[in-house]
Amino acid sequence: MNEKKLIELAESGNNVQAMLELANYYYKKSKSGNDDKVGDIISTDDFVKMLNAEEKADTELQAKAYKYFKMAAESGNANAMTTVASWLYDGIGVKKNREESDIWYRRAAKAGDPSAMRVVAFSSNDEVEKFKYYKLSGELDRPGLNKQDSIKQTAINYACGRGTKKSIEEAEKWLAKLDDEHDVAAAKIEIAQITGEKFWLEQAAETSTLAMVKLAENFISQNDFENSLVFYEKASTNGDFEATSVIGDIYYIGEGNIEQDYKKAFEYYSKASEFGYNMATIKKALMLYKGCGEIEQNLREAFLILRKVCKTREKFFGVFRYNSVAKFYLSKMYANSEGTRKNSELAWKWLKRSAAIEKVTEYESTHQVPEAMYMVAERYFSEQEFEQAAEIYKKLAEYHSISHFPYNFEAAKKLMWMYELGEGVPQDKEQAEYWRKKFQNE
Amino acid sequence: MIEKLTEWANAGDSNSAYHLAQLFKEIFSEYIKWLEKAAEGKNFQAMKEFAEILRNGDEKIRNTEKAVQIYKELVTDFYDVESMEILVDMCAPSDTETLNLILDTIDKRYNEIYLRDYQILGRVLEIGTRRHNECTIQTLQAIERRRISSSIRKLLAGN
Repeated sequence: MNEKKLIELAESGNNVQAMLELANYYYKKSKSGNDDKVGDIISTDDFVKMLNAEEKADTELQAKAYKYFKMAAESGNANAMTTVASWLYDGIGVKKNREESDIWYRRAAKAGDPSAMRVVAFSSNDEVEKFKYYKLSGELDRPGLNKQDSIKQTAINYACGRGTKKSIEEAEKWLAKLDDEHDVAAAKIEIAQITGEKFWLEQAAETSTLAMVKLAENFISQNDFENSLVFYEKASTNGDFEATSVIGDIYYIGEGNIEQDYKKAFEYYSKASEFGYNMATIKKALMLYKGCGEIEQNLREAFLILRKVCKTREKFFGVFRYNSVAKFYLSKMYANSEGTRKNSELAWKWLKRSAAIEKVTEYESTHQVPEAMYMVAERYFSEQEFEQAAEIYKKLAEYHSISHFPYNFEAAKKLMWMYELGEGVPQDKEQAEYWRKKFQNE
Repeated sequence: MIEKLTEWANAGDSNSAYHLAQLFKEIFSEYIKWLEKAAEGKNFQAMKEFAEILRNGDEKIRNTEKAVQIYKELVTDFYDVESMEILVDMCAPSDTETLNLILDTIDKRYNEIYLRDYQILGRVLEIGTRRHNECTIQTLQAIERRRISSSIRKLLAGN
C-alpha cells in the first residue's frame, strides 16, 4: 500500500493497523534503511552502526513516526504505548519527557504489554506494584520476549514476602520455571542475602560455585573458619581461583582454630597463581621474598616472579593495567640488590610506575600506592624538583583514608613546611595554614 | 642549603633534621646525630631508620631497649605494620604488655579496615568488584595485621 493511502487510512482515526504501519515506515526511513536490530544479540560493530544511524536519523521523519505511534497508542494499542513511552524517555521524535514517559509505561502495562510491565516493575517504589507486574509479565507468553528475569524476581518476592505473602512453596514453584540453573542459583543467593535464611545458600551450593563461596563467606562472618574452608575447597576444586587464594590467606594468617601453615599457604597461592591470578602470584613472591617458616627466603625466585608480573599486561574491563604492588617490590629489589644486581635506574623506573605517576586511568589513580608515592616525592624533593614533589605531596595529603596513613600525614606536614618557608614553592602563609590544618586533622 | 636546614633543624623541624641526616649519610656520627634528632621530632622515616640501626647496628650503637621504645611509638602513633611484626619478633612470648599493646592498637584502629579488608579475605559479596586482580599495599598490610593479631592471640592464649 502506498504512503498516501496509508496516511488517509491512519488519519481517519480508526485504523490502528494503518497507523502502526505508517509509523514503522517512517521510523525505518528515518534511519535511511538501516535495519533495527533491537532485541537481537548483535555484534559490537552492528551496535555502533545502529547508534550512528540513530544519531544521524532524520528527526522530521522520526517526529512523523512518533505522531502515528501516539495515535495508535491513544487508540488503545499496548505495543504502541510502550514505544511512545520509550521514545518520550529517550527523546526520539519528541522532546524528552520522563514524567509523561512514566505515565505511558503504566498505561501500556495496564493494557497488558509485558515489556512495559517489566519497566514498571523495575522502576516502581511500590513493592505491591512491583510484585504484581513481575508476576504478570512472568506469566505472559510472547515470542521473542525473555521473561526469565520476571520469573526470577517473582520467585524472590515470594520467598522474601515482598509485595505479597511469603510463600516458600510458591517461590519454589516459580524457581522451577527458570530455564538456566545459574539463574536458579543466583535467585537463591539473592533470597539468602535478603532474608538471611542460610538454607537457600546451602541448596544453591550443591551446584553453584558462587553459592559455595557465599556460604564460605557466611561461615567466616560467624568466625567458623573450619566450615568456611570446606566450602572454599569445594569452590577451589571447581576452578575458582579467588577461593583458592583465600584458602592461602586463611592458612597464612592462621585464622581462628586453623593453625598457621606457611607451606599450605604457599601451595594454595601457587595453585591460584597457575590460574593467572596475579594477587596470589604476588603473595607467593612476597613469601619467598621474606622467607616464611618452611618457605625459605629465595630472593632470586621472588625477583623473577615479580619481574614477570610487572611485565605482564593484564586486561581488565578493556583497560590494560599493571600491578602496583609488584612494581613497588621490584623497585625495592633493584635498589637494594636483592635477587638481582643493583640498578638504580630500573629501581626508579618501577617506583615511579608503582606510584602511578604515568597513570592512564582514573581507576588507577584511586589505587595509587601511598608508600611508593611518598618515596617518589621524596626523591624529587631531594633532587630539588620541588614542583613535581609538591604535586605528589598534594595528592597524598588530600587522602583521608586511614590506609594512606602515615604518608598522607607526612605529606601534609611537608607541604606546610614548604609553603611556610617558601622552600621550592612561593611562600604562602594561607597555603601553609591549609596544610597545617590537614596535618593536624590527620 | 645545609646552613638553612641546620637552622630549621635546630629550631625543632624534624623534616630538616631528616634531610640533614640523608645529606650526611657518609659521615656516620653526623648521620646518627641528625637521625636521632629527627626521630625525636617524630619523623616517621627517621624513626624507622633509627630504630633499625639501634636493633641491628654494631655493638657500639646497639640499644635494644631504646629500639623497642621507638618501635612501640611507631606502632601506637603511626600504626606501622612492619614495626608491629618486628616488635612481636623482638619481645618474649611472656611480654604480655607489649603483645597487648600491639593487639589493642590493631583492634582499636583497624576494626573498620578489617571489616572492609575482611571481605577481601572473605571476598566481597558483589562478584566483579574485586575480580580485578587489584593488589594494593593496603590489602597486603591488612592481611599482615590479621596475621600478626592472630598470632598474638594464640601466644596470649598459651601464656
